[in-house]
Amino acid sequence: MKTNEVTRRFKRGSYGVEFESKNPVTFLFEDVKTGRLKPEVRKEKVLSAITEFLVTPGQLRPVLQAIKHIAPKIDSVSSLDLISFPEESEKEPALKAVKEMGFPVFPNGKENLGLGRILNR
Amino acid sequence: MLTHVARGFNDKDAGPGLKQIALTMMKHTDLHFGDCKIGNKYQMDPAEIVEKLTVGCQGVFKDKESLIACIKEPKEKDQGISIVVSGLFDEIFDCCHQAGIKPPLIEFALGVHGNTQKLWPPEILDFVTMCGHGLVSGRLVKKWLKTSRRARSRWKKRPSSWPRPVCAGYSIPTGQKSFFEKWWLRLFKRVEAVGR
Repeated sequence: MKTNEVTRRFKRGSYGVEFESKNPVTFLFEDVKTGRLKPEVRKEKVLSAITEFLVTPGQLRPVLQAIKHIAPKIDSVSSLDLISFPEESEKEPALKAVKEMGFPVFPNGKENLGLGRILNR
Repeated sequence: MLTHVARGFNDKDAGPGLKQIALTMMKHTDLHFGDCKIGNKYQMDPAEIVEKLTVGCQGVFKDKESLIACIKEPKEKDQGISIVVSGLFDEIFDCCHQAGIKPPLIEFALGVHGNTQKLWPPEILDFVTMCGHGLVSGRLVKKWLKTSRRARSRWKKRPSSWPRPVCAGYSIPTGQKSFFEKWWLRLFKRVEAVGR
């Protein structure tokens, strides 16, 4: 999210539910379609880890439902974030779904200012 | 406010650009400044941090005016390195509007989930969540409060030592001092009661 105006990893349009390929945690997956970890890291402990995945607008509610179902079963704590384009047509349906699913939406967050660009030659 | 290069896109020879942004930050705030790889102003000379920047840096602002002034300069100078601002959306949107910036991407916080019983009590959480990567130890906060009890007068010095463990430079000394002034006795009693 922080450098998306440069990398374009997060794009408008449709994607399946897929893990972000350049996320460091994704490299630890045995199967990137299911998120199953490699056997040698399954018993490792981490201070913090971030998983990123892209969803289409139509997949948002099922994904949130899955998160709502599995989160109480995990013996740890997680924060959930939603990244969106700022136009009302993009964020409002997403926020509506989030609220209807019972997730809180906090008044604080992050904004990418869009000042980055490709400089490497 | 955080600035960060994108590996493979604008990280090559990014030092001068990052230096310019860092100097701009330091011009508009004296609250806190640092970089997660190098250190923060409570650990080393800010001038040394600026000279060693390679991927990004962070700064904290105490009011909208200084933030607006700060984000206008990188926009005008077009250094081409990404900048992200964290805070209350209403306030940040207004700052961006006044600076002539339209953010292309935003990130919403949707709460904390899972076994929240494992979280520290709120009074300690106020401190440990100043780092989003969990690098501020709750046990350090607890130990520090217990130490403060033995020498009450020393607590006034503790705020300056407190930000050191937070390498990234995100903790807010002004906020911590106000926490101490308002809460420190109540905090210590609460920590004792937790008994962790």
